[in-house]
Amino acid sequence: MSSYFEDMRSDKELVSAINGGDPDAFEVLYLRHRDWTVNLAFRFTSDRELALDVLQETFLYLLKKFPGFTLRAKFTTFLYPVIRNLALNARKKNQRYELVDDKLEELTEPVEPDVEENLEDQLRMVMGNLPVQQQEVLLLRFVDDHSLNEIAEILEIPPGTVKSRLHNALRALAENPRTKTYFEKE
Amino acid sequence: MRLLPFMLLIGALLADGAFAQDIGNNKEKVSFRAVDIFVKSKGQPLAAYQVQVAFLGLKTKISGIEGGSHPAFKKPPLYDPKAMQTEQVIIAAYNTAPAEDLPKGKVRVATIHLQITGSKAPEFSFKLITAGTVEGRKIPAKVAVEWRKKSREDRQ
Amino acid sequence: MDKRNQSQPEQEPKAPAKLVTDLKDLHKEHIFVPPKVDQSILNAAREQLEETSREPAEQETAGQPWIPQWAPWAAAACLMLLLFLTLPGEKHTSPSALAKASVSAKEVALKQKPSSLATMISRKDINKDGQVDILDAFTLASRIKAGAAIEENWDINGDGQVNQADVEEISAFAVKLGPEDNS
Repeated sequence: MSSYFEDMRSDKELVSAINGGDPDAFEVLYLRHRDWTVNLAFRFTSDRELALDVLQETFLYLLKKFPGFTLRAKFTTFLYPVIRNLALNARKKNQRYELVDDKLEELTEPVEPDVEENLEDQLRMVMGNLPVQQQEVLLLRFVDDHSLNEIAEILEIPPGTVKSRLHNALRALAENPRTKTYFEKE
Repeated sequence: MRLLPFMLLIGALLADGAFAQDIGNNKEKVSFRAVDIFVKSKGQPLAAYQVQVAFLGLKTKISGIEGGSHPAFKKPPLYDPKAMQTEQVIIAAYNTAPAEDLPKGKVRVATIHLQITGSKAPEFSFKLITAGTVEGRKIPAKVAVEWRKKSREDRQ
Repeated sequence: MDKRNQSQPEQEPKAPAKLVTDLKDLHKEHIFVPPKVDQSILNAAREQLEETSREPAEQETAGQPWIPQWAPWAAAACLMLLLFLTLPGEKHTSPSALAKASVSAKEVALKQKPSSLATMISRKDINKDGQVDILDAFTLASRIKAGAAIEENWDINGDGQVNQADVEEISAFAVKLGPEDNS
């Protein structure tokens, strides 16, 4: 594969080249955003294999837009709702099938317990129970370090709504017995 | 006598297991699990390792391989791409960093993701082919393979 | 004072530092993408984009007499063949010409991979322990990194240099599954 990290072209320039039929430009664009895409998909699916499926569907969806595609915002801003929708659909479809067989647990050798249930595990549990909309803004703000205006653009909602969801998410964490210690003053 | 060709055809199909396969496939579940690969280097800095792992039976396929927990082996290990969707793989990695930046003792060097068809857990065999320390010297080491504990997110 | 002005100073909701750290830790695990997935996406892209770029060329030639694209190359190949068959071969009789010929043959021989499997494997056995494994790749990588003495026959890929590419050749050989593919 080409050394995509050495390619200094902007995403807009790459899109322009892809419109001209340049497959190498598509490869650079893909490799540049692949890991972000699959990790974002995983946030919604909580399943590695589904996240990989979403990765493929996302870039095949993008491919169909060429030639003639115009990038009007940041590439990640454009792609975010695509990934989210594909991931949530994939998760919904997947829930129709029983994927986990508890018998597998019994037949395997017992695994040594490696960690106690610590604060991080508790946080993971509580996050998993938050509404998707609240999880999203929390992660976009504090893990991806987007500003409120950027989040508003990504989610296509008013900045006031972003602020309100963030406020509600933090309040839910502060009120939950498992995660309230984060908010207690030392 | 006229029925003989039909009987032979049905017999051939049954022998082939075509019907059985259809029934079997409809009921067999697919699950995804991961095994963690550990190398125990007994107090010496681990600079390189090579491990062969094989999952017995045709119902287990390798679907992904990722790196380990220590920064020196965080990147996915080297392996033959042909191992994907098969039952065995040789993984290896090395790091030319100085000894103080290398792991000692028991360290997770890689994780192998599996696609398992059916409810029976696969048996697996594994072998440490070699392990080395900073001077490229072979060191006595052991390999351990453990099923990764399923987190809550895996159960969702 | 306007009620709106009273609410404006309300800052963006802040999260405790430890919460932010733990949130980042929860999502630091990266999903590994198998090369097969990359290849399937990039192959689809290549197929579609090459088709797209071909179409205008096809449109341009509409209305012109049909000449296949490979015609000029075919003509050139025929001409080369004709020249090869008809021109007399040169004979090297002078000593200098012989020396030149032998030097160029030696250069070619150095670049060619040895034909026997045993020779090929023994060159990769950098640490001379009788087997080719990751320690050989590691030893060579360490020596290259340290600027230590390098042996000429460690040029595994035959490109005239001993570098990371040779380390990668050894690594790939070490993890190869079947003995049949020794390229």
